Amino acid sequence: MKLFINVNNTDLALEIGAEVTLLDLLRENLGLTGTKEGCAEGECGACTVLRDGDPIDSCIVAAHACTGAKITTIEGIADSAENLSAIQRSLIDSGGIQCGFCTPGFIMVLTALQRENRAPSEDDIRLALAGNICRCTGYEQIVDAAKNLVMSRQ
Amino acid sequence: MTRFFISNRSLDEVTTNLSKYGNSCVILAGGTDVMIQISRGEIKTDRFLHVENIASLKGITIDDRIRIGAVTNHKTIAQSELIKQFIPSLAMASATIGGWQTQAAGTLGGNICNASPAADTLPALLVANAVVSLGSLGKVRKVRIEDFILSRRKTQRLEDEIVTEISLESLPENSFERYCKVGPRSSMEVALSGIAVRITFNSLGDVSNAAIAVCAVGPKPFRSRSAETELIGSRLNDEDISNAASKLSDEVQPLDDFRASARYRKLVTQSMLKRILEDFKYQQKLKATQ
Repeated sequence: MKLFINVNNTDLALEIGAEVTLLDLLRENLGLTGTKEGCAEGECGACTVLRDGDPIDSCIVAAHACTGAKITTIEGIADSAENLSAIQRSLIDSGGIQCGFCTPGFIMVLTALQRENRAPSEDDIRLALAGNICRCTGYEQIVDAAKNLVMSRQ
Repeated sequence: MTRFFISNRSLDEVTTNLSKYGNSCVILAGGTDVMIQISRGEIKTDRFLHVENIASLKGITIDDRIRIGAVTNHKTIAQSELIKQFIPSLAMASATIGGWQTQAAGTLGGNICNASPAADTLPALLVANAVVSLGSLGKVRKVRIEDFILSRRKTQRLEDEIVTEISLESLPENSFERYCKVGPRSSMEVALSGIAVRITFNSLGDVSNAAIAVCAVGPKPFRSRSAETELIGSRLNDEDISNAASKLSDEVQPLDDFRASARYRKLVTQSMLKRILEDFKYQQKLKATQ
C-alpha cells in the first residue's frame, strides 16, 4: 500500500504494509535509527517523534495513520555534532545524558515544549516529560537542562 | 495479519465501509489501545478503518449541551476552556491519561469504546450524564453512557456503528466538580481507583443534586446511587459525608491484584470521596460569605 509522508522536511512516497508501525518505518525502511524502541507499548517514550508538532509514541502508531503528516525525528533536530540545538547543548552541559538510550525521546518532547511555551515552569517541564522514562539520571539533570535553557534566555 | 488500511475522510465513507466489513475490521482512531492489543495478539483483524482524520468528528461545541466529536484527542479536551469551565472533571481526567504522547494521539471516542474498567474519562462522563451518538449507514442512535458500557471491553456498539459524538450536561450554577485518582504515578499508570464528583447546592446551601462515579473498582465504571442519595438535602456535615462514603464502599467491587489489594482500593476510594466533599463544603461556605 502506498504511503505519502513527510519525514524531516522530505516528501516521501513509500510502499508499506498496513500493520507496519511508524517506528519500524523510520528504523527499518528509512535507516533513521536515532529513534529507539524501548517498551514497544507506548509506556517509555524512547520512540517519541513529532507528528505535526506534537510528540507521539511511534511504536504504537501505524505508519499509514501518518498519511500526509509531517514527522520530525531526532535526525531532523541536528544533522551533525556541530549543529546541535539549544536543548541538546543544554542536556550535555547539565549532565542530562548517561547511557543515552532515552535521550532522543526526551529531546523530541523538550523541542515540542519549547515551541508551545518559551518559558515553561518546572511543573510544566515535569508534566511534559511524564511520558518519558529514564533509568540513569534520576531526571533531575534532564529537568535542570530544560530549566537552564529557560534561564539562559532571560 | 492486518492487510488493509482504509483512510476514511468522511462519516459516510466510514459507515459505508462498516456496513460492508462489520466486525472483520477494526476502527482505528489514535491507536493508543488498539495498536497495543494488536501487537499482543489480543485482537486480530484483516482491515483497519482509520477515522482519526475525519474533520466532522473533531471539535468541541456548546448549545443546550456540550458536544465533543468522538475523535477529539485528550490533549485538546484537557486544554479546552469550554471543558475546563463546564465539565471540569473531564478536563482533569483527560490531563492524567498517559503522558503528552498518549494525550496527543488518544481520543475520547476511543477511550469509551475500549471500555477499560479503569478508563479515566468514564467517571467524568457519568457525572455529566453523557449521551453517546452512534452513526450507521443513514441512521443515528443515542445511548446513555451508563447503558453504553456493558462490562470490561464490552459496549453496546453494533458492528455497523461508529461513535460520532459524546454530549454532556454542563455544570449547573452553584456546583462543584472534580476528578481524583490514585496510582503509583500520576501519568503513565492505570488508576488504582478514580472518582468524579459533581455536587449542586441550592440557595439555602443544601445539596440539591449529587453525582458520584468511580472507575477501577469494579468490572466497569459506575454511578454510586446509594451514596448520592445520602447527600441529597445534606449540608455535608461529617455524619452525612461518612454515611455516603460507607455506602460507596458497599457498592464498589475492587479486584485484589498485584497493583493493590481490594481492601486498599476500598479505603482509598472512600477517602477520596470524603476529601472532595469536605473541600466542596469549604468552597461553598467561602462562596456564601463573599
